[in-house]
Amino acid sequence: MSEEIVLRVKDLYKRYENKVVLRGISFEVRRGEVKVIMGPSGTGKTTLLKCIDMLVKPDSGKIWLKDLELTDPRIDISEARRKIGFVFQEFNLFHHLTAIKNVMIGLTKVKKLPKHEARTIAERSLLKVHIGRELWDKYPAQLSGGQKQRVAIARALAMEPMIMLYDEPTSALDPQLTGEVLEVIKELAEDGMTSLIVTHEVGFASEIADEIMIMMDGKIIEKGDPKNILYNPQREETRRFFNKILRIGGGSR
Amino acid sequence: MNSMTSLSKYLPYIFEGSLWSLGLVLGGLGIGFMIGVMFSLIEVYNNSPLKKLISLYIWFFRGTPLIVQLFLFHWSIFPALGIKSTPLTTSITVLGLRSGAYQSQILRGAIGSIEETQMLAAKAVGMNDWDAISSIILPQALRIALPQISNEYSIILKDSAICFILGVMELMTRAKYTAIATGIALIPYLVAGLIYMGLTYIGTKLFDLIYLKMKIPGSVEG
Amino acid sequence: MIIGIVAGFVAGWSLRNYLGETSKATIFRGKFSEPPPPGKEVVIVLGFDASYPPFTSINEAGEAEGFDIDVMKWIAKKYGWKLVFKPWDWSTIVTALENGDIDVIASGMTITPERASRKIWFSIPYYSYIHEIVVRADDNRSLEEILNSGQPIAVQIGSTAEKWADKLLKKGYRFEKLCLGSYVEALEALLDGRAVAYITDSAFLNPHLSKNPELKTKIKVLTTLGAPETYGIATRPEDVWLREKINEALSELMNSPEWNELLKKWHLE
Repeated sequence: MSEEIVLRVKDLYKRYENKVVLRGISFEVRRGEVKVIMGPSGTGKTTLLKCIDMLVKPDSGKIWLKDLELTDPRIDISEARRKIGFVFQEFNLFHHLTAIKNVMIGLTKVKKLPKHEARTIAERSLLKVHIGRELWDKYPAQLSGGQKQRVAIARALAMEPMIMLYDEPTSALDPQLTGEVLEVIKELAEDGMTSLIVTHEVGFASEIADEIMIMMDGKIIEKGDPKNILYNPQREETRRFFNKILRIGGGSR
Repeated sequence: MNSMTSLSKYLPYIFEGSLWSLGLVLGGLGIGFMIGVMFSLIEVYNNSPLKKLISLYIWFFRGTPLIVQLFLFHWSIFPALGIKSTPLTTSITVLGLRSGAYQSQILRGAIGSIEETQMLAAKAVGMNDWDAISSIILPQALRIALPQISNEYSIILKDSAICFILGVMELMTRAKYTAIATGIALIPYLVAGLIYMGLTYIGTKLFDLIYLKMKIPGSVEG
Repeated sequence: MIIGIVAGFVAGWSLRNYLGETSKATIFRGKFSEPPPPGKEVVIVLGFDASYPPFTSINEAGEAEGFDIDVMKWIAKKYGWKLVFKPWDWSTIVTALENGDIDVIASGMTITPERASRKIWFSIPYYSYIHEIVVRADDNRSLEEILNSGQPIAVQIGSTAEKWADKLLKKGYRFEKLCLGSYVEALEALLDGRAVAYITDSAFLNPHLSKNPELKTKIKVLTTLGAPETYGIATRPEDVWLREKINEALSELMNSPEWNELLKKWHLE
């Protein structure tokens, strides 16, 4: 993990109707770092990720991707989004395209690459997430949940982003399928991909995270080394949170 | 009876009418489709005062009878604009404008039925609005809308008969003239009716074929 | 507010069109007000409703044929005009003439003061006929009985026969007016029992009976209605030259032996 800061978030505020979802979130992510965000559902973790990718506009606060200020209204946000890979909880593959076309479309439409070049990159990307040739021409409806999510990761990966955002990547999957997806995310992280992951999988988090942030009521209440957070949390809320999810059986080894 | 043999001689004349009817329908459907796509996109994605104008347009074309519209355009609106139009051109134009009103609603519904998350994913990959709409939303919306557009085809086919008031020599008018010339009332209309059924059948079958080809394997409609 | 403005605009434009029309009633330069420059081909678009044999109908080849058609052909031949035949529905044929879709109406059109005071002017009359009320041969009721029977009497919609039906209804007779698309359909209605009587004119009926003599035993003319009427060829008021030429030709034709031949050909004598 280098010292170079890839993502910087400062004082992010967001409210929906009469509910404040983000109350001044600030943090940094360095190149190669794997940061995990955990916390009770509904505390705005998804909103946070969506704000970073500017899929949702924050009410106030600033976000920097390296030197580029994403919250600046003058920039071309579509351009900026290329550099951020987003993996949704519900996969969100394009229904009318095959797996490989799903991965290729960003390359052809956004990066304007010629078809054969896009195909080569897409194939590589799919192989990296262990999606074999026999699945490339299948449509999303014909794939399993785990396969879909891995294709989604490949789709984001193919754009060669600076950082990957994972929004609860395994929450919509059957338990036996989460393994294959987590495995892929782990491999990518070990390869050096800067990653910001929202997840409930405690075991997974403790394995790969460089830092875990606990979010509650729109604020980051605690953050630190996985071992410290898990076994020696500072805050009572953190302790209670882990007790709850560990009892439900949140993915320990 | 002598008239029967002369009736059979009229058959080519009647059949030729179906070409005109087809021309009216295809022209109307095509124009309607282009307008439908344009308007539905504006309605879903735009927030300008254009939306008000479009509502007005739809209200007019859906609310007034086709005969009135044909009359109005051929003898009020076009002359007022200084346009000299042939009955055929006016007919196709009006059928097209009218179909556009209906097709815009069909497409609007189809676009609306696509989950917002598809758009979100397109944006996340870095697509701008236009690319997202043209390569992600519209292809899916068109597949969804296809059955209803096929329906629109058969509706316009029947509406095309009304263009007789502008002197377009389509199928129905020819059947009528044949009936009068031969003195046999029923059979020419029957023949015309059968031809309409045939055209409807062929048209909808074609649409079905297209639908099958474009279907997304494994999707719900499968 | 936007709706109001747009609606007002559209109304204004349409109104402008009609206002312009009424000012046309005073003679101005129309398409055929004056003789065309020499060497220029004269194309006359003839509008006709092909549902009125023997005056106008369509043959198997899809061509116009009929007494009126032959008359116009004769006139066009005399002057070397080119004739374009445009079948047009009776309900909008006058609008088509007014607006230039057609130049002439020769289609068994009765000269009435009401029509002539509108936007069409007629040539000299070229045929005369009389209206008749026709019933089935076996119906022995009197005229009064039929007219007060409350039952349907068939007419062609938009025709002078329909006007007669309206006139009779106004006079207080009680029957149901049954409007159909053509004289033939109205006759069918009488024959198959949907109507008890049928108002037509001799111009249609006589040739029809000539061609279908077996009908002579099935129907009978109960009475004539009113005075004899005449047909004329209709043109726009401003087309002075055209009308003069047509009248000249008509007079010549009607005074020639070809006239009788034509009448014979179409069973109109």
